[in-house]
Amino acid sequence: MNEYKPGIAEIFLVFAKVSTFTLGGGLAMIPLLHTEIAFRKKWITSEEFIDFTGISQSFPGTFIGNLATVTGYKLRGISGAVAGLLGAVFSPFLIMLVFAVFFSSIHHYPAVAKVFAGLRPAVIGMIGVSVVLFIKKSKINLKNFLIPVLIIYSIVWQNFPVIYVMISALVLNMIFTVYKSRGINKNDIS
Amino acid sequence: MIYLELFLTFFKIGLFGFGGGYAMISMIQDEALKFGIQRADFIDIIAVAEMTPGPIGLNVSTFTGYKAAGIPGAAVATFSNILPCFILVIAGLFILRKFLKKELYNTFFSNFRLCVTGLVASVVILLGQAIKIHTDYRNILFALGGFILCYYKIHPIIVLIIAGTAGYFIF
Repeated sequence: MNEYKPGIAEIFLVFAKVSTFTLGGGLAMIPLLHTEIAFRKKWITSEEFIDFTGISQSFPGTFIGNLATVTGYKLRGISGAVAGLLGAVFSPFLIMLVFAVFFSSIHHYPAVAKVFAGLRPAVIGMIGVSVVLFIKKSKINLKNFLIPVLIIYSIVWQNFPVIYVMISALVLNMIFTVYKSRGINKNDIS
Repeated sequence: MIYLELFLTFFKIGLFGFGGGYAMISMIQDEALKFGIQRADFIDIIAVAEMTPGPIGLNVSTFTGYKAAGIPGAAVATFSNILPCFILVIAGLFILRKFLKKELYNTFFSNFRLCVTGLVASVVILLGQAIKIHTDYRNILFALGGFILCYYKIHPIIVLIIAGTAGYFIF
């Protein structure tokens, strides 16, 4: 299927290019990535692209980092995966660093303070949008709405460390999933 | 030693950072308190991260690392944030192909999505409390404006430019 195997440098460069032009992050870059690696470069087929997208979203970490890892791995094994991942994080890292240095030296100016006084509540509102989107996607109903409520309760009112709340949720969920799947198997047999 | 602490913290965050950038941000803001970064300062980090290219979770890690320990701190935070994902993705590829049944997979992730929803909602509440959003009607207006514009798919960068410009004149 592949006429040629791209080199490590090429894998690095392609993912560096895509991540440089991704503002706002995440899934906004799916069309761009698809065009680049499936359509133009023909590194993977469109079907593989969909599978890889699913895998990348299911794993912890940033979407493009994971996608670059999976794609690089498919093309060149471990070294391809490393090249893809480093490419994906290279330019965001440099750009963010410049911003961080620059911002830290200007943020005490009154004009900048005013700008950020406007940005802060707006950012909160924008994160609110993803809450709404997540609610839509997660198929909340009368039976399961207690799960997010419990998470909010333990983080906001009980002040439990966020990461341990999520680890507990993950472990409980795994136990529950295994327990439930046993039921399914038994039903299938009987 | 701060670099070791940064490494462990961001490795942990990367390891359990399911659910995308905002889920990761929720964990980082909690852990950032350890490095002396208050929630109100953290919102500025998010705003800057939204304006720069690249995955937002990673940008926030870089900036948080920088605030905690300068440029080496930024490098440590970024690297340790991506390391566990890298290992997991490679390992996961093998496991997924071999073991996971379709129905198991679906149950697991549909439950997990609910948890992530609760997680991101609590961040909205925590950050709102941090800037005392209810004490000033302008804050409420800006939050509503950000929500509505973003909901109707106005690009985040445009929303932030509008919010920043309006903030300059109104605050």
